[in-house]
Amino acid sequence: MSKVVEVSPTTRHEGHTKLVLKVNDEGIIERGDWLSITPVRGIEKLAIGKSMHQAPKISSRVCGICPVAHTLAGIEAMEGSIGCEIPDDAYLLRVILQCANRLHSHALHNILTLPDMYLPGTDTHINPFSAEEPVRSVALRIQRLREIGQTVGEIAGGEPIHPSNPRIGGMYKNISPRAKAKIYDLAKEGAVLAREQMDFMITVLKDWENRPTASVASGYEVEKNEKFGFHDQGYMAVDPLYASTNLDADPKWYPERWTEVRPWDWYMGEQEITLDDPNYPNHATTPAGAKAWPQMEACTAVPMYDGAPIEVGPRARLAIFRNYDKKGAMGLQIARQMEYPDCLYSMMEAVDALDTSGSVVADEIPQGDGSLGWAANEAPRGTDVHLAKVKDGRVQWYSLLVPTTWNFPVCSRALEGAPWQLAEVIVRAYDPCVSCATHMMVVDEEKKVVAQKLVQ
Amino acid sequence: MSDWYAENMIVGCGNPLQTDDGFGPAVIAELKKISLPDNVKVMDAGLAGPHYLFTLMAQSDMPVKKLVIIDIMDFGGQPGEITKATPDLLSPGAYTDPHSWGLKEPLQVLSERTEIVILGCQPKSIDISQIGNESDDADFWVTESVRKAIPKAVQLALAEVGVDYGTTITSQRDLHGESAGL
Repeated sequence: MSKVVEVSPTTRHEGHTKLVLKVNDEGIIERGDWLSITPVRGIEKLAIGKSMHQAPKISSRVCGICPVAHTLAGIEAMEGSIGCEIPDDAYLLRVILQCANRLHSHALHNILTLPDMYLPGTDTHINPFSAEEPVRSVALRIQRLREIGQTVGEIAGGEPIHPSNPRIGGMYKNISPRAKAKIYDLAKEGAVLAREQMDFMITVLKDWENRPTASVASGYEVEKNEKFGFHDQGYMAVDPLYASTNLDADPKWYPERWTEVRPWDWYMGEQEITLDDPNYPNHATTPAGAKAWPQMEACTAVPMYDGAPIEVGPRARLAIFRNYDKKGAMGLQIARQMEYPDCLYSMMEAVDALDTSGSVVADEIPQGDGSLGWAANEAPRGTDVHLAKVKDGRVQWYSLLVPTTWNFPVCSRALEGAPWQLAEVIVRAYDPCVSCATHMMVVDEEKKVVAQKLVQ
Repeated sequence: MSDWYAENMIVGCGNPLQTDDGFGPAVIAELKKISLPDNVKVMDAGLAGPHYLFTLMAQSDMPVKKLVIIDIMDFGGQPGEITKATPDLLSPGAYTDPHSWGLKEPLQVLSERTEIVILGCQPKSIDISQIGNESDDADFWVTESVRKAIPKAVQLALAEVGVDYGTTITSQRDLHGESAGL
């Protein structure tokens, strides 16, 4: 008979989520619900009526991990609505910023991943903060990659965390020849480190995959099975590196293929917790006898593409554009590492092509007639879609479909078949960034809004 | 030319979408209007100070000599009052973020190699901003009492890093209880 266990809060990712899991007598997940419990922030409502120049700045503050992706997607959605093409050199600066952001994000995620992994050939979990070798060298390499990403991001983006240089119509400022040389030098240094880091991480991840048993960072060992973190959903990505918008000659994202359903229609109903485990790390299992009600507690709508949940992120990009076919949680993790070198090589190509004396602002910035514009940015965690309608320079409508919102239902399906004690390892493979995913809007078959869960 | 670190860093933390939590970024926006020496860098860390900055600084090859953090702080004062604190005032476990990695006490770890001063402003509200449209260029929506504290925070932060900004304020005395804008 199935039992229900709840892991709350889940750890080592951004935001607040929990897992509600139905498991069989062997502890294998029969049905898993992974849901955001971060309060809705109502960003889309805050932006309505604002100047189109303000809206991307607002969306930049959605969360503290993905401000670059939200800034660029927000700006390009506005540009898509008003029909504003930007100069080539502005585009190149944005590409450099994108590369820097992905480099930093992937390196940061390594720190979150490593505690679940083992030093190859040993049964010792990796403590990325250990002063002992060989881990110390790895940690310093990760930190240097993050520094390089942030420094390049600051040069191209104006601010390292919440970039101030991108603007509607292009960029406020081009960079100097000296700054261009510095980016190139940093990218060359980073390319060597990134390849080393990729090789190390793939070795560690494959070692984990080949083990008969495993545990989360400070937990107890449980038996694994072969298909860990598998699902049968499809993939969505618009570009190997950067983005697509409605202004493209050949757009790669189609708003008419997107629908959303209510969490009420997708998540499990009220459940009584019937299994807990005081030995689970961080004492994170909810005591038996408590109630869980995923369909009422989930803070996100469930986005669908062609009527089904769809995976976004590194594996989706590699699967669509490079025929990558490794499934499972480790397949996703390995795909993320494989994107390391491209962050640096693409950065070098873009900075090499950049004309530092070129104009970076469009000659004319239209004010918009209320047309729908969208931008799908390939953020580190996956496709970050922003949609906007701008009229007379003011935002009439704004919506964000962020990567983790897409991945919640896919990852939930990927939990099935895994030992419940390792469910967090699957969740972490998606590098969830939850705060910006607390978007909640329900539309009917004709795309009319029928319900919204506003600021709580 | 941008370098990730400087000998002295002034960092504003907080989220402008949550009313007075935007105090730190608002002070940084003012500081960026001022020409500063090469050994001083100001940064809007927004929502990401611990993740993006403090852990990196703690392991940098280029140690930061002094870090001035500007943030809101609930110390029981009047809205807009500014107090000065150091990381040792934060009790063990004060930084609770179960969703991060081992960021148990990021500032305490960093304080072993960097002098850290926190300029904390008492907020009036940290609710989601009911942002109006009164100004197209407004990026920060702090309450009136906290807005008045911005110039003073600018002066205090500059004094901490040894920049003479033409004021008579000293940052050495206990600031607790001083009102904003006076």
